[in-house]
Amino acid sequence: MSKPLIQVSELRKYFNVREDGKRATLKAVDGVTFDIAERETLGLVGESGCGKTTTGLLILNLIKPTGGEVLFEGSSVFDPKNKKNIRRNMQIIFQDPYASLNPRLRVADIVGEPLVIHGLAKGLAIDARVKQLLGYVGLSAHQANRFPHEFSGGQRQRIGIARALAVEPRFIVCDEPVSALDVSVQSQVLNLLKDLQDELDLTYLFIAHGLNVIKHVSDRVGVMYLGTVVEMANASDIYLKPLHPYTKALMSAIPIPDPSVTRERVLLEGSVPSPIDPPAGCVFSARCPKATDQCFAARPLYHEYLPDHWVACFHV
Amino acid sequence: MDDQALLSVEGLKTYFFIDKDVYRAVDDVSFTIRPKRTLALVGESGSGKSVSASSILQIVPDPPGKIVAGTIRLEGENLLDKTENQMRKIRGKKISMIFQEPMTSLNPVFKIGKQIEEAILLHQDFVDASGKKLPKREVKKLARQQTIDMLAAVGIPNPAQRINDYPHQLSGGMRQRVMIAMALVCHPKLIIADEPTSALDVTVQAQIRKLLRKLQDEFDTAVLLITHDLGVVAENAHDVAVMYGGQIVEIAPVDEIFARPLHPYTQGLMLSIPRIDKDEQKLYVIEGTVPNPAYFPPGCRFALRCPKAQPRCHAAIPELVYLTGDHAVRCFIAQEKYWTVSESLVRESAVVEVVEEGLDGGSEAVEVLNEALDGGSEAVEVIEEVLDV
Repeated sequence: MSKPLIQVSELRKYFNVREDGKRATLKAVDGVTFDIAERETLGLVGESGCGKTTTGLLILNLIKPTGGEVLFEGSSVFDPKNKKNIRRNMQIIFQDPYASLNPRLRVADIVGEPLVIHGLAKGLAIDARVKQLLGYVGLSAHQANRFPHEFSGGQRQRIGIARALAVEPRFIVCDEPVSALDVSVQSQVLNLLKDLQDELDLTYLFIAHGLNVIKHVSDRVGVMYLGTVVEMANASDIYLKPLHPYTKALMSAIPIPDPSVTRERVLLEGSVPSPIDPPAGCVFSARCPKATDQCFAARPLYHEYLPDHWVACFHV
Repeated sequence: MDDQALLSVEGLKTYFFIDKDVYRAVDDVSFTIRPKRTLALVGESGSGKSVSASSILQIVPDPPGKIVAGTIRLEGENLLDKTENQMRKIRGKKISMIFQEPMTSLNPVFKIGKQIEEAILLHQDFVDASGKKLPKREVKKLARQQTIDMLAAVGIPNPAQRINDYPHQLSGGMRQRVMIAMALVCHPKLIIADEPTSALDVTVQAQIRKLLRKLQDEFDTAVLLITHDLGVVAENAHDVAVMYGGQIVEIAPVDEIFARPLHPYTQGLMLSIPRIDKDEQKLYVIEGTVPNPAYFPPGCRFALRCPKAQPRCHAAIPELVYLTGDHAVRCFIAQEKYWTVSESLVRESAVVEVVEEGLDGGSEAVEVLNEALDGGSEAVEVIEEVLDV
């Protein structure tokens, strides 16, 4: 693995909430540690509320952490002195292509705005650069004067990608970029993201709940549950040799589009518990088919069980 | 068309009239569902699958929606001839529906027990052995008991207490179980499930799908499953109808359609999804986007995105033609290819017959064989195969 571009250590984000009139702490992200190497795609999967989006926002310093550190090329993203540098180099593509584009701006202004803010181009140079960016994402130059509502979901997502690329970032958080799109359009956007990565040497943190999508785009995959990463390994290992009982259950819950394939099923009971007052022991203990007394009492250490294969479970 | 059919939809057209445009959301859709079977209606957003389902129950908002043509027969009776009052007796009793979003389809201000009981009280007659109506108190007690039993059947723990919960007190998976309980409580012949698991978490989705299959067996219900997820289709459906641009483009049993998809759209759809059991570097891409139902092209609805399209595809809409007993496709090219292949198969089997006859015939055999050989090189191959040369 080459030198890490992003280093995340012991990242934590707690929200103060009220439940039944009492103060409570919602532990959205609770001690997450990982590296992302240059030109790598790290996938984060998990069910709703597991903290994957919060992790993405924390890495970009879009929300303040409760604890922990995120380094971009060795310097802290939380340091105010680095702010301009961080915004230039780290960008985000959002899930909802309808909500993330200003409906009153033309495409040229949406994509051109980051150039103006960062002083990367002036006057006619902006137009030229916008045209180039639209070309990258497969839109034509004459579409620059249109408004977002004139585009389909897939095209809007392309506009969002062009905007993220405008400042020539090196790292992009892709937060569920294809979940809102139709199947036939999904593959267009996934291929585009892959091509752009090869062309522009991008590093991605790819967040999704669709395991098939994550597997397709990622080099390594981290599985999150209740604010912690329970397992992380290369994409093929995590799918072929999952170690954590939650990962196994998650894999087997995905229906395979082929009626001739039959598989062994691990069906979980119940649903994800609330991140308010999570279990004291292992986060997964309440639903784990293998849980023992030890699992309810203490939290298992997240350790490197095999080379580059990290897992937090007493039973592996 | 199929005398075993529980539900048969024929030539259904549901249009929406908005401003001066006509949106042909469902445009000539025909399918049948047999008892206890699951038919999956697959397609992308805007393909007309949900409107087809709403048309069956006649819950399409009118205006602007209107069923302009077709018949929908449930056990032989055309539902489109029924009055609104008659339809009320069918909805929830003979056909019920499970919606995608359990939070918005349950009433937030009533306890879940009450909402399920409502269906029972509306649709069931409670009579004693002599056929006399039971007193109200008795009826309420029986309905309550049925509700509790039904909630237990869908896997809700402590159903006797849970009937007093409001929808917001339940998790998404539990709410969907309540929806299923409500749909099944009057033992309908058909359930329409519109993306029943799409709004749920992955591990909960698997639970709900398993529950639906189990209950379908127990209650002998047929299911019209509406989904965009081919994985769900492969796991749950017996038959599959693929929709595109308001029309069914291909219909076949599930094993058949996954093994031999004939329509270019079905083929593209299957290739374009990333799979967890396979490694692929590049995904297959269907170029372009779904056409606007107000401005469909004159020819095949898929022609503009079809890699195989020929001039005739842009000129006329192909018919949905059954090539075998249960596999139909709406594509000129797939139909032609199938017929050419089957014609040559017919020719080959004729030659084989001749040869076999010839071999039995003894002395005459050579003559017959020579005749058969005039059939050209294809015939020779067949003969060699038969003779095991």
